[in-house]
Amino acid sequence: MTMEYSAFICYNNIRICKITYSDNDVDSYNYVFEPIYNAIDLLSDSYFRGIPGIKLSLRLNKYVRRNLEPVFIFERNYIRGKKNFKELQRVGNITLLEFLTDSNMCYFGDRLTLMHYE
Amino acid sequence: MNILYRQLSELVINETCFEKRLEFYQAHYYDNIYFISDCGKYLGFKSYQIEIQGRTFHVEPIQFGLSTESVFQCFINNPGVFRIPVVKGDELCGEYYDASQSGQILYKDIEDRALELFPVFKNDISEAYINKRIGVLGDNVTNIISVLPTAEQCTNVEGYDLIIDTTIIPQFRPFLTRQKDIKYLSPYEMLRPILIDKVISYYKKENINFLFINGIMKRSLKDVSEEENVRLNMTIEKVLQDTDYLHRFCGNDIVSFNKLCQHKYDLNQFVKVVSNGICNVLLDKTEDNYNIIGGKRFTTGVPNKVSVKIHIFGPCAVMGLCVADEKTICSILQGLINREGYNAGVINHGLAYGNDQLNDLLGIMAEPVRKGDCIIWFSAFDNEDLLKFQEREVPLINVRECVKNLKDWFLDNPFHCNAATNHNIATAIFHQIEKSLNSFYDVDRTSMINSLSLELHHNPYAILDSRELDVYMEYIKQFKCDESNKIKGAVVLNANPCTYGHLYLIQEALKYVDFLYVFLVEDSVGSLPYMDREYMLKESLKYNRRVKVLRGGNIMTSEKVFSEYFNKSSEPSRMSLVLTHRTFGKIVSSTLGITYRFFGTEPNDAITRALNESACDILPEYGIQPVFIDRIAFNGNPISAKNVRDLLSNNQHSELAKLVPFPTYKRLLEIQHEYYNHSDAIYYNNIDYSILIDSIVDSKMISLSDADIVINSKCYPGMFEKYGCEYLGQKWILKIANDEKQKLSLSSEKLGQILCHHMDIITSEIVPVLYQGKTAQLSKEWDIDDTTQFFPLAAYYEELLDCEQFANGVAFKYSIFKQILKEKCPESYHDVLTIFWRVFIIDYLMCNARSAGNTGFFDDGAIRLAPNYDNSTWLESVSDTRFVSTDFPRLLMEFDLMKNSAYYVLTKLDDIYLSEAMHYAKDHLNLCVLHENISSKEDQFLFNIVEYRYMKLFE
Repeated sequence: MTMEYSAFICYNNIRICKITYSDNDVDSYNYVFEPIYNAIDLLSDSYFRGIPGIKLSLRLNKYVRRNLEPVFIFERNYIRGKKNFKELQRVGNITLLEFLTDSNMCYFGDRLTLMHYE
Repeated sequence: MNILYRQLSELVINETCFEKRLEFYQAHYYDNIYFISDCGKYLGFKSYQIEIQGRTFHVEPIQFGLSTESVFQCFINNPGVFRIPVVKGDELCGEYYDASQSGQILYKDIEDRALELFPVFKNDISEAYINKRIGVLGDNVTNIISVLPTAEQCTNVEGYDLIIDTTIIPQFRPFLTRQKDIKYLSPYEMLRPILIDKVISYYKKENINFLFINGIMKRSLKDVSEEENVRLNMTIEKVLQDTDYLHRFCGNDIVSFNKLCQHKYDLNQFVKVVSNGICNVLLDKTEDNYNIIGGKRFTTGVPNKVSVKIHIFGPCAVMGLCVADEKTICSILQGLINREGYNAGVINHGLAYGNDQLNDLLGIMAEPVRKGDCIIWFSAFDNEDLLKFQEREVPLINVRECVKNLKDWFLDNPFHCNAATNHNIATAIFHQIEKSLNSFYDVDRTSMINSLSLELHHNPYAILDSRELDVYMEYIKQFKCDESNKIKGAVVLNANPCTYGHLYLIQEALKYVDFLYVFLVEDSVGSLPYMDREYMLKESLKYNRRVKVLRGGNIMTSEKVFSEYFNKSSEPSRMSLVLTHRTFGKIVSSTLGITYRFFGTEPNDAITRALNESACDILPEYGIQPVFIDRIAFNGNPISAKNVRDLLSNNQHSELAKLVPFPTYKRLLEIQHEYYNHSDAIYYNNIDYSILIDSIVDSKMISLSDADIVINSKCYPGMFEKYGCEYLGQKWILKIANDEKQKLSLSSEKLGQILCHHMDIITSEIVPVLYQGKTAQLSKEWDIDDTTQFFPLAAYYEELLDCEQFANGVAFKYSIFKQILKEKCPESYHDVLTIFWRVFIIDYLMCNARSAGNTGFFDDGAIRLAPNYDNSTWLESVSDTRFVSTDFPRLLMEFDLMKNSAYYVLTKLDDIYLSEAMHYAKDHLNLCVLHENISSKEDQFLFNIVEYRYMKLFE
């Protein structure tokens, strides 16, 4: 069964990037980052430095990560034993991305948060 | 008893030639010659006792690896046995031996000494052996030919009137096939009649009373009962085990009985001898009712001032080996003299190692006497030799007469006699000399040596020219270090037991030298057995290739050379101090090329302090620079072995663990039967995780009820269950260990933080705590404002994926890492790489592989390392033995080398930043400080690994 889930990456509650997880099975999965440059450009005078692992200066529409856990996800995954990350892109019957988005735990390192995609 | 181990290569194996074996026995009285099959199977052994004395021994070999206590028990179970073979399976691998029972046969000592004396008595010898055709067997002929010019070295004995045999002692001659019609004499056999004649003549001429006591030789005992015969064929140690017999032997002499029981395993070793340059004297020893003072057995009741001195020379019967001070012949005689009101004092010159007539004669010649004094010589001669005394009208007492009504008067031989025998002999002496006790001649005393101007001199440093020292030098020569080590140093340790103080001294000493010899004091007077001390020291240093531990022998700070060290109540004499340093100087300068000698400063012990101070005067004479290193302190107090011993005896194991390296700790607990091994893991019986609680209470433990836990507000990366919490107004991250691995991880973070501080790397503060009964820790949250973003290094690698050249993936390479740094932080490039390699070294020590991968940067304009660098080890538990492989763990980062382990990278990669970090680590990492912070079995386990890996890397 394939799964897909999308969320927004926010900085100070401003949506700056759409992130989508999709897979065919646990061994083959993608994370796609779609930056919202209009919003990002508005942050140029703030302390905002970017999204870890994503070189925004390339101004790409999509940043695709195939079969590897992006630093953005890896760092904020607080589930113990996360080293086996290939097996952990799903948590129960939901995706890890959804689990992290739903969590009331806030990763403080990159100052970014996740928000449901509506 | 001082039991040591030596391996197969140090033993004599399969010597089938009988004459060669005899030569070996001469120089190795107690040693065995072993026999093994072609495939190494142990077959048995031969020894002097077996082949010459005809004794039978049933000594079963013991298996390698027994505890020290078990080995000692084997010796205790076999009194009189001083060598026990050791096997692995059925193959001989070595031998346990009692080092206090070593040396050559007394008769051989006497022959060697006699040969040395030939030039002194040149005229007498050449006169006695004039006009004889003399052949000399053996290589050591210089002294003989210088005295007897007609003598010549020979191999064929034909055509000579006399053969001087310097190869085989007279006692072995009957065992060899010698040509019957030729007269053989040993050097001492030539010298003996000359010396006896000279002594008798001199004392007669000087009107000095001379009395001879003829003891009974074992072989000339008559009417021996069956029981006595059994004892005559036993060793003294064996006889001493028979308490019933000891009761009969001592009778009402309870004091001596107690003494014998106290020394039932070491009576023969209790008293040692040392040369004064002319003859051997006893080594001073103080014990209740058994005292050696000024080289002589103490005589009770001697007045302060006496008109007449009575000197008694002789073997152990005179010394009083088997009796208390008050029951020696001399003390009993003194009692008789005092009772009758004479003003005379009896001086005991008795020795305790056998019937050394040559030594007695030299002692007699060296003693200053005057008219009216009395010389009494107790020895044993055959009837033929006795005639010489009778011809010269020397008064004679026959011990046979003194014991004719006594029963149970000796132990294993007639010289080991009891108080009743001594009483009879003393009474006989008194009756013989009483008439002369009233005489008083107010003239100066002088010795025969001075009077006749014989070339014999007292020399307190005689050991410097001794065979003993030569043998020891041969031993240490085997361990001469590689010539590539230019600067060599030495330290002499008692290590009773080995502490962090000792290791610190060694560590500091290695900063001065390329190679360090560590001499371990061999004498174990009042200390832990040598084998245990050696184990603890060697194990603690085993990874250090620049250090070699050597036995101190009878030479290095031994009882013989520096008896005050073992008898702390006495003041150190200048002579002993000089002798100690000269002995060292002579050994090191001629043998090992040592130019530095290291001493730990000594605030408390006066003897050691005096030794240190005198080193500055004496060692430079030998080109040796003394260096004094301040003792390392723990909690403000210098670490001392005495403190450790006190803690051990008070069962304060947790405190003890902080002062000693792990091998010491393990062995000390083994000795107390409180240590056990469990499937490679390291556990202490009495020290479990509760220690952590103690240490926290001592430092900064917080009660979690006092903490304002703010859970679920923040998420922290990593393997742990983590929470943010506030305590005392500060933000902390609470990490909780839910399993063994995580406990170990917390421990590694704690110790890693200390190593980081040594390497000048700033990390978050860590406080160990217990959280709901679980091992946990608080680490201070990063001190950054709420707007600063932290990006781990991996983020920058991930960015590369979007560059064309890395579209198919990017390797986690050091070269790429440097490129990223150059691009991201050109100004702090040098600093980051410096810290990167320092962290890398700590990673290696901790079995972590996350350097750089776990290194984070704040993207706040200037890139720097994250302060909460994670020192977690990759080991799973305290039973994980993967650390012994330097390939473990595999690195995440690649360095384009053959192997990708931290050890390989650290030792092979050519990188300027790495090189600088290695030097920095060598100078700044301090394992002693790390050890002070051990407070759990996990800490101890990790410390051992750090220590092991440190040695591997730097030595």
